[in-house]
Order: sequence, then C-alpha cells, then structure tokens
Amino acid sequence: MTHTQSSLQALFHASCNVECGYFSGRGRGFQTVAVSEELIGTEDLKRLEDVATYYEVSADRRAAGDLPVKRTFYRLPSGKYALGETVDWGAGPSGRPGNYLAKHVIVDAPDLLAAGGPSAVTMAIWQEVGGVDPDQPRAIPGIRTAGLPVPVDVSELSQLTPPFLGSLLAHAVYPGERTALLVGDEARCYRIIQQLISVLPPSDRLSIPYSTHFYRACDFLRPHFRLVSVRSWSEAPSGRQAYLVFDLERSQDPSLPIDASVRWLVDTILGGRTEEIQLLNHTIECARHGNLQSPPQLPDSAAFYAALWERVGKASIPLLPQGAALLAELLGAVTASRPLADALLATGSPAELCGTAASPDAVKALMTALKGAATPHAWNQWTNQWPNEPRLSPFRTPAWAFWKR
Amino acid sequence: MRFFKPRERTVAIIGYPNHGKTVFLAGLFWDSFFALSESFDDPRNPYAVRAANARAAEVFFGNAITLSRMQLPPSSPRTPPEPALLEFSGVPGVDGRRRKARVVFYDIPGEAVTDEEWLLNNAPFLPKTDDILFIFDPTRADFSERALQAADLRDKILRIVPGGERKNYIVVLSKMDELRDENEWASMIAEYWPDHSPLPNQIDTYVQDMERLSRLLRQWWIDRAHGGRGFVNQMPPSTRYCAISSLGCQPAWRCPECSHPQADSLSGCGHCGTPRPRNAPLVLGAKPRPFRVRDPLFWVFRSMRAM
Repeated sequence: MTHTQSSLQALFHASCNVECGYFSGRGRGFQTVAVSEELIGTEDLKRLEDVATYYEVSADRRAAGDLPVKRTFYRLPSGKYALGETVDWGAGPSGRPGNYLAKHVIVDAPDLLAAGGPSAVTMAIWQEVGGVDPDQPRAIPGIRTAGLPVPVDVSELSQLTPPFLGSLLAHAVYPGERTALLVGDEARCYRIIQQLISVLPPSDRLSIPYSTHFYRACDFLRPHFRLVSVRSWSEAPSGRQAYLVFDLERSQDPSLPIDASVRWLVDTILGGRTEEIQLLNHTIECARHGNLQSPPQLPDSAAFYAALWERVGKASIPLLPQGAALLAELLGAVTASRPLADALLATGSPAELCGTAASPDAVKALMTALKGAATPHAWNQWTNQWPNEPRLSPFRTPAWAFWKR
Repeated sequence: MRFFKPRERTVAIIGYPNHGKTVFLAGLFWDSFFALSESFDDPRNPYAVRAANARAAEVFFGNAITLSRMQLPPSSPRTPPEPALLEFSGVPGVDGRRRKARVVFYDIPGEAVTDEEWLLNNAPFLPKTDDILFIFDPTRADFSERALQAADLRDKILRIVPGGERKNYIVVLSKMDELRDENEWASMIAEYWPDHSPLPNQIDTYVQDMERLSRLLRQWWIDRAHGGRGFVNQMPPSTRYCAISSLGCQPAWRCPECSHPQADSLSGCGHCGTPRPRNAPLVLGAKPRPFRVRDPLFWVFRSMRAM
C-alpha cells in the first residue's frame, strides 16, 4: 500500500515564561507567546494554555543537564487535536532556572485521520512559519502543509515479551477509560508509543492521546490521555493505582485480557510481518466504510480472519472465505464463536459455506463447529431452510427424538 | 508500650511570583539541617529534620543541594501543589522537653494565587490548612502596591476557605539582606543581625525576640502608609510578623562583557555599563547564610505546642 501525500491545515500555539507575552496586561509569567488568531477566545486556547503549564524536572536531572523533551498528543474541546513538544528553556525573567517552551501544532481531526494519525505531523513544521522567539510575541497564520508518511514500524515492539506486548496491544486496540502508564527509558517509551499507533488502522489512530514525561503533578491531566510514560518510578505521577501500569525494565504488565485480534497482532509483530499488518488495517478500513467493491486479496489464514472478525464483527462477513476447513478453524480461533456462527448461518447456504472442494471430514468439522457454537434457534432455522441438503443429514435431529425427550 | 503520635500541622505558603516562597523553603531546610541541628544538639534526643515523602525530598533536599552548588532553585511551575512532609525530632521546648513534629508544606505557585478558580480547583487542602504563611518581597515595588496586594491575597483566601478567619496567619517579609543598609530597616533589624541559631536554654529569649520583632514589623506595616493599616486591620490580632533573608545575600548575574558579578537589583553592569541581558541566569556569590528563616517555623512549632 503506497502513501498518498495528505494535506493538513495547521494552526500554532506556543507558551513560555516571559516578561511580556502575546496578550498585553498579563504581566510576567508563563503565558502565550505565539498563537494563530483562529484560536483566540476559544476553549481550545484555554486548554492549550492549561496543559502546557505542566513541565517539571527533578533536581537530580537538572543538575546533570539531563532535561527531558515532553511530547503530547491530545484532543481539544472543539474536536481538533494538538501535538505538543515542551523543552527546558533555561532561565526565566527572574533569572532562575526552570523556564520552558511549549509548542503546539493544532490540526483538524478529518485531516489528521486522512494523513494517517499524529505521526504524520512533526514539530519541524514550525520551521515553515519561521519558528518562535518567546521574547518576540506574535500571531502565526495557519498554513496548509503536507503530512509525512506513517509506515508500520515494529522494531521496538518486537523486542517486548509476548505477554507484555499482548497487554499493551490490548490497551491500544481497546483503550477503554483507564490510562496506561509506561515506566522506562524515555526514548524507548516514545518509540513504543509511536509504533503502537502505527500498527492500528488509520481510523483508530486518534484514540490513543499520549504524553511522555508525565512527571508527578501531571496526574491532574490524566483524563486527557490514554497512554503516558515516565522514565522511572521516582518520577511517576501520584495516584498511580488509577493507572494500568507497564514496567518496561521488569517486563511487568497488568495482564489485560486479549482476544484473537491481539493474539494475531502479537504473532505478526514478533515475526516482523508488517505487510500483513498493513493488509489487515486496509481490510478493516474497507469493511468499516462498506468499501467492498474491490476487496483486497486476503490470505488463507484462520488467524487473520479471526483478527478481522474481532475488529469489525459482521462487517467482515462478505470478506470471509468459503471453505469448510478454514471456517471450522476460524470458529475455533475467535474469542466468542456464537455471534460468528449465527452470522455465518444468516448469510450462507451449506454449499456456499463449505465451498466446492471440501473433503467430507472438513464438512463434518464445519457442521459440528456451527452446531456447537450457534444458538439453537439459529441452527434449527438454518437446517430447516435446507431440508434436502445432504451435508446436513447427519446433523438433523430425527422426529422420534423429539418424542423421546 | 505507649505510642506517641507526633504532632502534625499543615502550612500553606502563599505569595506572588518571585517573592521568595520556594527559596524560603530551601533556606528553612538549610537552617534546620545545618544550624539548628548543631545548636539544638543533644546526646539523647538530638534535633533532626527528615524529608518524609518524595515531594519533600525534592523540594527540601533537592533545592538545598541546588543552593549548595551556588545556584537558585528553579521557578515553580503552575502545577497543583503536592504535600511536602518534614518530620522534626528533638524539638526543644521552653519547658526543656524535646518533642517530635510533622509539618506538611504546600508551596502554591505564585502565578496561580491571583486565580481564584484555579485555587478552588487545585488547592482543596486550603480548608484543612492550619497556618497560612504570606510571603512578600518589600524590595521591588512601592509599599502601597505591596499593601494592596497583601490585602487582596488575604481576601481571596477568606473567600475560598471556609473559616479562613480562624486560621493562623504568619506574614513574612523576605530578602531583608537587600534592606539592611536602608536607615529605616537598619534601626529595626540591626540588633538582630547577624543571625545566630539559639541554644536550647536560649529558646525563651529567642521567642521573646520573635515577639518583639513581630510587634515592630506590625507597627511598620501600619506606619508605612494608609494601605498598610488597611491590611493589618483585616488580619486577626494573633497574626505574627517576620522578617527574613533566605539566602543572606543577593544573588548575582554575570556581566557578559567584563564577567563581573552584578547584584540582582541592578539592570546594568556597574563596572562597564553593559545592560543586563534578558533572562540572565542568577547565581549565589556565597553559600547561604539565612537570617531568621527559622522564625516562621518556630511560630508553627509554638502553635502546635512542640516548642
């Protein structure tokens, strides 16, 4: 699948501790120093200013000159998304250290989805608008710019242990309400976050708002993020029992339940088969949007179809293969086989489901699996629909058996 | 076996940006760790201070280490304050007994004190605070502005803290080292400078000095301008007044042209005339020698009957 260059409308915002910022009368302090005028007076600007203020570095790291870069991605009240980067900025107007510069790029959700997600935008875009000088506050007009390609990258993910990777993927694929806390080397955590997003279908890539360097007092911002990272336990936010904790160094994870989709992803990532991940994601997008006029060429893999079923449910039925052996294996591979069995019975005849070249053993395996998984009502309805179907003969309940019961 | 639970007190430090809150806490710890642990030494029950949680280790030990490197602690970001718990043992009382005390400090970011909505959302501990410590820098603005700011801060606290009028208030003037040469201050604080940490048998005398200084400073607030009286009259009669210098000397910036250190109060180099660069980093010219930075702490100890 090749990258089609996308176009995004980008707005800008930056904050720093200065003597005098963009909004006069504010006085000295941490405040807006650069902003696109479309943001002025909006709730988005208030959110940007609020989130930007949270950057702190421990005394030890400051003394060692080990100053982290905080990277964020989160949703704004209007539905736009902000990508942020906060860095230490030396001394403030008082002459004391601890000043920091927080830059944001703000993008519309449809543009970001079409571009492939947050990784399509980098802070290098600030160069296109002349950068920012905190001591020269100014308005920055929004620009139309090209998004970067977002390849599927699993180089860091493939180094994780299978249980750890499984839990992490389970959280990424089905984020839920809780925030995951990743504890480990900062650069490594950021790569993991980027790669987790890259293995998701494009339409899911906005569902993991994240923050690196989620240091201590940042806990207040937890509702804005689904995945955050810190370098060590001493820097972890307070109230950590509210998080799903992933300790990279010790390979400890919260043991989240995983389904066939996550199992397939783990297997594919550890095998480095990124083309298959791209294929699944493309298929998921086609199924979700009902774009099945030219379905892609899919592999003969029950695990693949199980992953597809888990992600899009009944929308995957038109894409499922005909073939008794494969369908029987598929029914055994999914987490909950009843909905799949009922869906199969609702859409195909025995001949269509079994295919033309199925062996008697394969037919028997499929019929057995369908009868065992489907609801009795769906099964009876289906068998009654095909009274003369020889494939169903061994599975019909004889009339006398009803009386025996 | 009897278990004695140490006395515990919660103190909120409130003041405008760069008035000296964070440096005060670093100086307070410095004074306890170095000076008081020596003067209050006792073979059976020595005076000691311990950072009892991670935030305290960062705020107190971390910033004290920064001071020992002749650097100023970083500015506090606008984050919800976390409790920093210090445990004191061997605190000598006027009755000669030694006690333990736990004090929880909340350092409220200076940029947030003017934002009542922020305080309501991010300072839920304020209603439970025992002592509210206002810190003001008297060196930079004219007094009437300072008095108005002081009154405004107090009114804010009363609006958002139920029962605020029943809290203990301590009003602290910081950066006294910069005012020593001014006649007005020289007469008031000269006899207390330089500062010597008291011995246990001098606690009584030291507390009397604190009382005297508090009366003098209260009078100073009243006499200085009409605005000062307006502030003092709002404060409960039990309010204590202190004058401190957390560092003992002014930090300095280094001239980029001639490299001479220049006092923080100067906007240009006194040696070659070069204007002060924007955001010139400040450093200390000497190790901290705090002046009476222990007075607010001693007032807290006395309120909790640990001293």
